[in-house]
Amino acid sequence: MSQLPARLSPRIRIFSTILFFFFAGTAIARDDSAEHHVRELAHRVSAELAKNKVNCVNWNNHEAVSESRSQQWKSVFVEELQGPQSDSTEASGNCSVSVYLERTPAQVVVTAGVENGNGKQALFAAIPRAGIPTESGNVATPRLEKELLWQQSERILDAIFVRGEDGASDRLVVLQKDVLNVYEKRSGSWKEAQSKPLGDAAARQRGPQGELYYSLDQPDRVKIVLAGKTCQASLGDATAPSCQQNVDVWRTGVLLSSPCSSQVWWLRSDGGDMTVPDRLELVNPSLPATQAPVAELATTGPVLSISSGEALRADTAVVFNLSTGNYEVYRIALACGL
Amino acid sequence: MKSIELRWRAGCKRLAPLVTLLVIISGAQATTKPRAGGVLRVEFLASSATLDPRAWKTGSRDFATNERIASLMFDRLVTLDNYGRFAPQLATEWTHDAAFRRWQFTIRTDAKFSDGAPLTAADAAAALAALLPEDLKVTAFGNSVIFQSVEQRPDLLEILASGSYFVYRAMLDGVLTGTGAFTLDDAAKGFKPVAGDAAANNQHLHFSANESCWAGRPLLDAVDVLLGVPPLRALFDLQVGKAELVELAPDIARRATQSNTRVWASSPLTLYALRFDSAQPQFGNATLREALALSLDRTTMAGVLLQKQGEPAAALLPQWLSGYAFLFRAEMDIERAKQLRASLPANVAGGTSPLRLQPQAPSDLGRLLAERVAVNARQAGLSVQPLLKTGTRDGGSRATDATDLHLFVWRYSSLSPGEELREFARVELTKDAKESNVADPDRRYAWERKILEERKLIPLVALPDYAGLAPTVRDWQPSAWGEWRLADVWLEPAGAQPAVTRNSSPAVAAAPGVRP
Repeated sequence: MSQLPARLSPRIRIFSTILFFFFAGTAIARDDSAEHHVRELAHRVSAELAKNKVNCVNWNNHEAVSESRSQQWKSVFVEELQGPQSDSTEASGNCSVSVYLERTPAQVVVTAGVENGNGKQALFAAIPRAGIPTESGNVATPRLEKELLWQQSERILDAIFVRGEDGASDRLVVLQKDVLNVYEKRSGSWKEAQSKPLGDAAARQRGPQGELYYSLDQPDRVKIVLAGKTCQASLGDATAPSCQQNVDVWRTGVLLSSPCSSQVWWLRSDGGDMTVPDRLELVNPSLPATQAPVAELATTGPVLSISSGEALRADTAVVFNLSTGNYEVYRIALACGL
Repeated sequence: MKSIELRWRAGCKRLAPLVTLLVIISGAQATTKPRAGGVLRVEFLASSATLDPRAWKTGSRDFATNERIASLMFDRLVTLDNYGRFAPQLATEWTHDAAFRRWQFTIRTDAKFSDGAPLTAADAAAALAALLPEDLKVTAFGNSVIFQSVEQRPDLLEILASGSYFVYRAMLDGVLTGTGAFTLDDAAKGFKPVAGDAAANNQHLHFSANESCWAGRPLLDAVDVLLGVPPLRALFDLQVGKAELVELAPDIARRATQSNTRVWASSPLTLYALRFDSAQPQFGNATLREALALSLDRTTMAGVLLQKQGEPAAALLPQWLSGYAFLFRAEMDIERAKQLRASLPANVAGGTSPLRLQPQAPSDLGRLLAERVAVNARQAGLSVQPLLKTGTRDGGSRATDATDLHLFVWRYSSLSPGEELREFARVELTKDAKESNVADPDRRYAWERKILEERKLIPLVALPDYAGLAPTVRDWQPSAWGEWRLADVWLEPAGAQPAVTRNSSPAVAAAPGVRP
């Protein structure tokens, strides 16, 4: 075993101490989850109440979070306050504890109003909104059906869902302005299989546009159309996309086939801007564009793209969810019986 | 099953040319793509603007105009989206220590100032150092800027994403350059955003698209700003197509909504409140202060005087910012006010001699509110005399010798409730502005409650910002706290804007956190 020179030991000890405190200071594992904040607040309320018994908790969610999230937090709060065996919560009445959920630009503020022997007191927990997982609503219509496949906060220009054949995994190809990501479904969840930066071809303008094209003839490739450029990308290996100059022609919709008949329909969106939710519309492709749609499907926001990776059986739509600010990828299919 | 699948695939391959053909030839309307081009004509009520963030006065009503115009030219390190998420702007990533005392931001390497010089960490640190509170130090370190403070700063992102915290570069001649979506075309107008300059009186400011903006060229070719437009003319210009976006005064906003003009409203951003003058003896009379506070009928002020264009305010910070303003109550209790007045000597101010009330700005609204305060006070046996001939323009100005009460205006500008309250107290209360760790909601609430219970400051009403929009303005996605975000706006050619009509509510009163 080698030994360090004795004269360096004090310096090393000091240095080691500084390093220890530095890393101890920066690497503390903090539980920043919303539930942790709620539990901590309940703990403080419990301490304030001391020996006073909590007769009930008046819980008020002022559209700060979804109702299911609110109920989840309420359970955590009550459990921490009284123990899991207790069931003394009420929606209204003269409760000794009242909790209010309020939303501010960056936080959800949880206020606990406590009535103890010293009068009313307010205690607070501030939960960063960015740390609260988003939830998707479920909207259903009788004919067009959608299934949420993927959501992320980064802007998605286009996406294609490719159903795996002969035991192969399902694939989800997601085009962002500067990267093409390929995900594969393994054990029920999406895992990143490839991530291909677009380099110079990346979309650099405001309101960037881009589209993906997929053909069953070349199941391991996609064509990427960006403003002024067309690229070919392999889905099966890590090779970089190859691009060339091109004139961009943007598609206006895609075809969608009914599983119960030979009818092929045209799927489009009704096209607002980024501030209003769109509707997906199903129309007869052989009739004029002004025809009324035969089926509609409400979406959570503007539809950014519609593409097809399943050869008419289903299409893929990218929607900007106006409620959550996330970009969502939906598989759009026709329900049988149309 | 397998054969069905194979037939399906074969059928699909036969259909492939049809798919391609239909994709190209279909005339069906699809997602509306943003269109590049056009000049957005914007009109402001304020008659002057200062583009130098160092010269902006926190809380002043001009702050919003300055900030909106400056945001065309300058970027911040981070921004807050409408969903509560901080997004990179000139900083690409950030970290902090466990105590929130040291933050490190990595500066974007592909951003350039409009004069072509690349953005550096030193530029960002130099710009922000001149703007930050005293206890917050910023230094450049390699490609990063490092913020350090003695007290915990968990709200640093909120601070940097709002207010005056823009990154700019001051050139030798005093002109400021930015990295933003637009550049100021000053050659023809003789206007330069010089440090400390309060120029731009009643004139056009023309901003051209920054072709080399790191975030991409804006969709608009230019933004033409006209300052000092009278309220009625602004609405008229919008309705006859002389402007696409105009700032609306609250009373005009109501008229615009009634005439089916597209109107946007923010969360309440401007507070009207009373302040007892610390130089006058009434400042020390707690009973008098309480009697006056209890006599005020805020519901009538908001509902009748403001015609529901504002809301009663019982707190210093609005509900949408603090999340707890609903805990403060300010109901009128005229009987209690009378009792308190009766307990005071007859010769106290407000009795034989009136309390002199000075509105800060000589506006119609200020005059109306001052007169209403006088009416309410009289019901409690207090005499208040509004001084309506002269007024001080400035938000932070102290009293003249003859003034007992000030009716002042405070424009919220920070996304950090702690920083907003600290600035508020610094400007309006000075001696109580030393509270620390106001990022902690428990401490902040206790401090605000203490200030309110003293009744040296008495909130009255809070008003949103209003703007009128032409139907051709698309992708208008402002924040509820007043950012207009014009870099992402585009213009539909006139006569081709049916989709906007799907926005059924003309007044987009986005007010997160407002209680039902």
